[in-house]
Amino acid sequence: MQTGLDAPLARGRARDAGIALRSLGLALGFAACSSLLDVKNPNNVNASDLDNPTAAPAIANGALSALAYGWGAILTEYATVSDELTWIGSRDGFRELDVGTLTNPTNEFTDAAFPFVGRARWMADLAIKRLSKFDSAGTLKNRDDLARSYLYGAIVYTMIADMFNNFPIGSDMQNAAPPVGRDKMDSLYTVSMGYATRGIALAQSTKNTGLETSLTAMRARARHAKDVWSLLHPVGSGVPHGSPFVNDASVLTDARAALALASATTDWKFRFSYSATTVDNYVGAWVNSRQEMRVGDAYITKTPADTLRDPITGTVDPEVRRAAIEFKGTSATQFYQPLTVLSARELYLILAEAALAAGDTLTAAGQFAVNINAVRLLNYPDSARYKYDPANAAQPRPVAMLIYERKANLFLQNRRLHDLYRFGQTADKWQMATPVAETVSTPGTLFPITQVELLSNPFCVATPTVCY
Amino acid sequence: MTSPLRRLAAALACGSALVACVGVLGAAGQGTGTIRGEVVDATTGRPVDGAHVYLVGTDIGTLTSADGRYQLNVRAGEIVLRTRRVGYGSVARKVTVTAGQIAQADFALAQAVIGLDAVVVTGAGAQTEKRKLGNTISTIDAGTLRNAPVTNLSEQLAARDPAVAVLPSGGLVGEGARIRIRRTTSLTQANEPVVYVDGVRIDRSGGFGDNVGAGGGGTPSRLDDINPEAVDHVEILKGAAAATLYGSEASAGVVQIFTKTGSAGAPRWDFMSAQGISTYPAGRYAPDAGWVPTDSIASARSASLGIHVPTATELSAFYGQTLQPFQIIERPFVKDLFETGYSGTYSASVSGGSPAVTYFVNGRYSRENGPFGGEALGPARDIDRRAQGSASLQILPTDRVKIRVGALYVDAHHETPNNNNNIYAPLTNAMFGHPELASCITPRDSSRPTGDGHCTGAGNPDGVASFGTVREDMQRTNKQDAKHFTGSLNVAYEALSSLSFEGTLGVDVVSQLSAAFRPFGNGVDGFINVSPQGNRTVDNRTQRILTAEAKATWKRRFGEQFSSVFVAGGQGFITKLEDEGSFGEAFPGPGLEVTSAGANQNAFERLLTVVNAGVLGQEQLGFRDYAFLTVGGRYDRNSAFGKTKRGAFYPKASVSVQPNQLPSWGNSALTQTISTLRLRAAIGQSGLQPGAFDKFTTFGPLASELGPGLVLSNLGNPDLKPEVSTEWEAGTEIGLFHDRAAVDVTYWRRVTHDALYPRQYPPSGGAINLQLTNIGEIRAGGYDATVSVLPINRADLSVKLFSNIGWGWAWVTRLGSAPPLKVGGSYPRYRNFVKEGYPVGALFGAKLPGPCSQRAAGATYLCLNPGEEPFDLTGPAGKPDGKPDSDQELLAYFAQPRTLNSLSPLRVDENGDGNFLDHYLGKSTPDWQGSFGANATILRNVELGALFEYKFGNYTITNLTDAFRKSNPVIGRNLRRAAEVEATMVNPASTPDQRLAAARTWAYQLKALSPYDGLNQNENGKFLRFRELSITYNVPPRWAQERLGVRYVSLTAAGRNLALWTPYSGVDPEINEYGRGGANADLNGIDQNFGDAIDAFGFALPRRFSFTVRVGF
Repeated sequence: MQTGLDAPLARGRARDAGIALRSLGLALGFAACSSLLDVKNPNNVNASDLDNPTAAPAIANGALSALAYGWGAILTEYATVSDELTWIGSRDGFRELDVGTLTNPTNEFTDAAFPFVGRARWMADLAIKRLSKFDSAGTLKNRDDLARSYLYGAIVYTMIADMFNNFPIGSDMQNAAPPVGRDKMDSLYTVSMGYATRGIALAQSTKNTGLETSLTAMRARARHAKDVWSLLHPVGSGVPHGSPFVNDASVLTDARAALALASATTDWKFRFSYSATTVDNYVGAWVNSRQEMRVGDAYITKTPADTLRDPITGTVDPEVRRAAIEFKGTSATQFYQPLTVLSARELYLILAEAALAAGDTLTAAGQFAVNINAVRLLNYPDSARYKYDPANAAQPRPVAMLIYERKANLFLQNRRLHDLYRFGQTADKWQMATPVAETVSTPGTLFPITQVELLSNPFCVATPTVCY
Repeated sequence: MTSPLRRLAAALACGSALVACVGVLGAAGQGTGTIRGEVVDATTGRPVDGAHVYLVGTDIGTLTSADGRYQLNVRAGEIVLRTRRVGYGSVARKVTVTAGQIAQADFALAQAVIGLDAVVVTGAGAQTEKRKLGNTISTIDAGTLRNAPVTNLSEQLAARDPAVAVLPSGGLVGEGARIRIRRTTSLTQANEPVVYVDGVRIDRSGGFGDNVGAGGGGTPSRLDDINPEAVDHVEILKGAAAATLYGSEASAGVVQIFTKTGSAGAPRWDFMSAQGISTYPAGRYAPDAGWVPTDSIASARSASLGIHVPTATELSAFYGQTLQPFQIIERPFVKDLFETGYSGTYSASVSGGSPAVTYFVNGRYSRENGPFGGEALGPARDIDRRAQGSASLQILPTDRVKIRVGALYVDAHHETPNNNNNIYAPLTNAMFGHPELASCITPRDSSRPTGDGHCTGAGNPDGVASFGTVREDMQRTNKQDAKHFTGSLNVAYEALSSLSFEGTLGVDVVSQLSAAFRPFGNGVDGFINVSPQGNRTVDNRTQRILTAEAKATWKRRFGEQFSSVFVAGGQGFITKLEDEGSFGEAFPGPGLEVTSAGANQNAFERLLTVVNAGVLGQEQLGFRDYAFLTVGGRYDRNSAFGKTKRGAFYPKASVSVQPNQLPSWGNSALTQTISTLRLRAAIGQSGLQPGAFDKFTTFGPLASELGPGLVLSNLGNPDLKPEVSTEWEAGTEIGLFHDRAAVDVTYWRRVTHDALYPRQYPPSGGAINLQLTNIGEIRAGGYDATVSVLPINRADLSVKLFSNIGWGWAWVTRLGSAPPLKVGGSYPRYRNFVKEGYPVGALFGAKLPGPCSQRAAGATYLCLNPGEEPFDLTGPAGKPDGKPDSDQELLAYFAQPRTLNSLSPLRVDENGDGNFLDHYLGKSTPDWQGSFGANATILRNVELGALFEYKFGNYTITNLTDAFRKSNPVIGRNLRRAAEVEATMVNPASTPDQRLAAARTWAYQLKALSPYDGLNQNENGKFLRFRELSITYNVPPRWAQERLGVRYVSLTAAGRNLALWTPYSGVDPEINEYGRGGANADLNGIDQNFGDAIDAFGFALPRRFSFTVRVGF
């Protein structure tokens, strides 16, 4: 109430009030100041920044790290389904895989790995697309970045075709694509080979022999895998369809070419490396640290002393022993051990398999024995004990020898389950009754499109059957 | 330089300048006099402390001290003084003050259970009486909790208001509680209320920062940094209708904390010392059970597990008693981890001042070593230690200027063991212990058994089957040191009696360093294989929030009938978060405790700045002091949308009518009975904005072996906008029998539009992370009711009874076409979902087939006919035939021993979509929650307080602890009934009938976990808990003053969590996997919001007993 105030004081108060009101106005103006609302995000890079050609190496590297992680992620489940790893822990999603049930789309581990595989595919395609654009514009500083992006693309497409019954390939961020279809999954190998072919041309143009070796080996691997796929599909009884062995001229050409390129490198391998400052290999955390799984009895029953023994020498298989010790690592490396993707060993075994399928003479001088012994020489470089002679009745028969060498030399390389299928073998933990494991009742079956995709992909939601 | 301290200094400099400026403005003085007096309880004659005595129509006032006395310096003339105090009726009286003289004004307050004259802050600091508002704001007077066994703010809030759920989550010492006001507001953003201390927004986070975690529990809360001795009262604005003026972060409500101010007079000292003990309740942890294997079973299991599995002979030697194959043995391994905890709290306060300057200063130190023990096993501990200081200074340079400066500071230290659903947690692995696996031989070490269940050295005496021994888990420590400062400067200037201004400037700074550490050589038993050479993670989280606020209040009258109060102002916050950490693993030797010593090193950093600013206005129109209409709104802008986007406007309106203010009230029998009646209604909006960068498509770093790399991080959504909650409420307060009985009922409804939902796009498209989109809608509603009665109010006995209850619901009504989301990501065992058409946090999971007689007509899903069991293990031909087995078939099947692993029950897929895990199994929040209790004063000097809290109604707890212990073939099956079933199944001596019965128990009670997630793991979680009991003896004031020479002395014995009544069979129905900040330090996200009622190896709430002495000089 103003009635009690004298006029001068009232005027003074009014002036003060005016000052205060103006101050208030200034404060409000300050509060609404737009520039304050512009805050920076130093944690990430805006998508538009990837249009800059200087981002090319980082894009390719991103594709590599995404692929390396996705490779280890799906390897964890794959090796558990096969006899390479066996479950000893608390997470019975792994038990489900261990006993041979792998098509459950809600299995937490398959479901957890699925996005990493999807990201690896998308990142590889993104790298190829972006870097090709830079290349076309003449702004790509290092064409090897594009060549290796093709390698990553080739690996991931083969990996998906190897691992999954079905998979949506064309999805791009928010835009979903329908799955390829179970009967068309082998088309991914075609994509893989196409990428490898383009990568080889680039590597040759830059004279990057290392990349050319990897890309050529990858094309051989993709072609071989495509042939294996045809042996296993349609899945179910009747697998393998025909002879379990692959003998493909184009595979042999690439395998030999890759070996020739790699000849300067003893025991050549293309591997993903992992470290604390990049990414871990995913599988090490589950097996080495948490101990949900251990190496399966088919390889190591209890201790390294019981490691798989070489059928010729009777001693612990050197490669399995090396791989097991390497995989286990030390306290400092148990998450970060490298994982092998391609190797000279596999190329030799591809050649041996083709020779066997082609009716090799099955003598020590035959192509089968030559290539098997080429692998064995890597295990026993200073000993003559390694030699395998298929004519020697005391030694394993060629088929058993091939299966053994593939088992030993492709340990933890995402190959074993396919070999079990096509060679008509079973893993020791597969449930043979009540109920029979899917791996037994439906040989050839692979991982499904999992729940995370089934619920988010509108094609799967609208027509669930297309996603199974 | 951008350090928070530099900004703080700048803020304080600005504040000082403002103080000086205002001081100059208000320098003109005039004649003043003094009023002093005493405020006492009209019935008991006891002094009333904390009563607010103020000049009507002004901000000038003071609080009575513990002896009920006050003193005020006011302008000379005739003034009206009024008192307010929770629990008492308001009294006003005219006083004539002569310049330079002292006037006496004493008050005798009658107890009342309704208090509509209480002043509350409606938004941005505008004060008004409760009765003028159409929305509800509840007030918790810290003075009424003086004797209650509460040690922090979370406990001060718990069970005081039916609309406020305080969720303790676990019993580790210093663990913060989550707070929910009126259920769930948001799907993804924080459902925690924003918190202000004296008008300054404070850090409300919890946990250990971005990079350190102990397992979800044991998480410290930054709210509990607030010194409870410094709190005067707390106001809770419940929901959008009340919190509109707080803008874009207030949908989940607002908690306003007001700290104590001094009152004029000579220095008054108050001391408090409390000593306490705590224990975990006995009998809540079921003992570890197992069955003795035969030699062949032991051998096979040893090969399978990769550990030494002892034979019956070895077990007999280990335990010093003869054990036979298939014999059930039990051991209470968890007992080794429990001890009697103790606590000590010491507080000293001084307050006083002159009528122009008053002060309050408090220092408090508390330390508690909780009932988690086992120090003999390793260094893990539960410790919480806080040194707190608070100070406030109130200056009245003139009768029109009030300056208040406040500061709170805490230096906190917190330790907690690994806990909850963490396979490297000592309690977890103690609960997983298998007496039949107990051995002194581990994979990498051994010693000899002592014959009484222990080992002479390394060993596995608790029989863990995997991961690590309890002793190894005890090597891991989690610690946090935090420093938290809150400073505020508030200046109020009454330019005219009708026009006043107020400004607040404040800063809240938190610097917390968290560390998780596992020393070199922590695998002391040769079992564990996680970082045997040690590791350490540190997280340094610094957050600074600047608050600036200014407002003007213009009060007018229109004739004799109408009054108007118009408030306009602005409010802004700048929040800057820096969270950085590092990790080091594999130390070269013992004694190293720095991350840089690790062979593997990594670093993390996250920077975030959020700016929120808005202008607000509110008009309150009153009619004859009994009807009030309030309308207002806030226009808000937020940096989440950048400077190019428009802001959001949130409107509000409310009406309040109090008929008992009419002159004619009280003239009839009815109106004489109803002493107070108010009807009210309100509607308003508030919002929550997404994260600062959620709208952008971004790539994040992911280095490769060939160099730095980028991968897709955030999909981006340029159309992102804040979600908006619209809430309306209506209610009434009724006072009966001269306000000796009261009922307060509120009905409320809320809809959250454009709810931000983390949509999963197809991961085949490259997106791993979820993208926020405005596609959701949540609807919620409920009743809150409080009944208070003062049945006895004599000088020798006064009893007040109270009861409150809240009923509420919250449903996800729309998610667009987005898929449902689950708590815990791909981890299948947390079954709390956000799914369209279901309650928030709905539980889904597997079901067994039910009787065909109960199957819906026309349905074709699997069901059981009489005589059939939920198995397909066999058939007429002795092989599975695709049909449920009959009892006869199973009896044949069980003619020989069978393993439980081979007994997979049939699951049903009722909707036929191929998903066996999508059956609705209940919800994780109760329909009803509330509390009741009593406060009594006996023979003037004895005070008694009791409080019970309860929850019930469609309340389902996920008992994951027992799901593991019942079912898991490796680490579980160690509850007695699970061990018995397994032993029966494999024992050759069992009969087929016994095995069939065991199979039924297995299917209907025990089988759980993948791929049966949700099966046999949900339980009714209703409970009633005896939360608080206190008995206080107040030494008669005269005796205290004359004999002891002190103003007062009180002695209090109190207990907390004294008893629990519940049908829940697990450890504790209040355990939850996620404590405050246990899933996300920023308190948002699906896990933090909906990870409710998950009992996963948590710690029961301990019983606490304390003895407190308070002395005033």
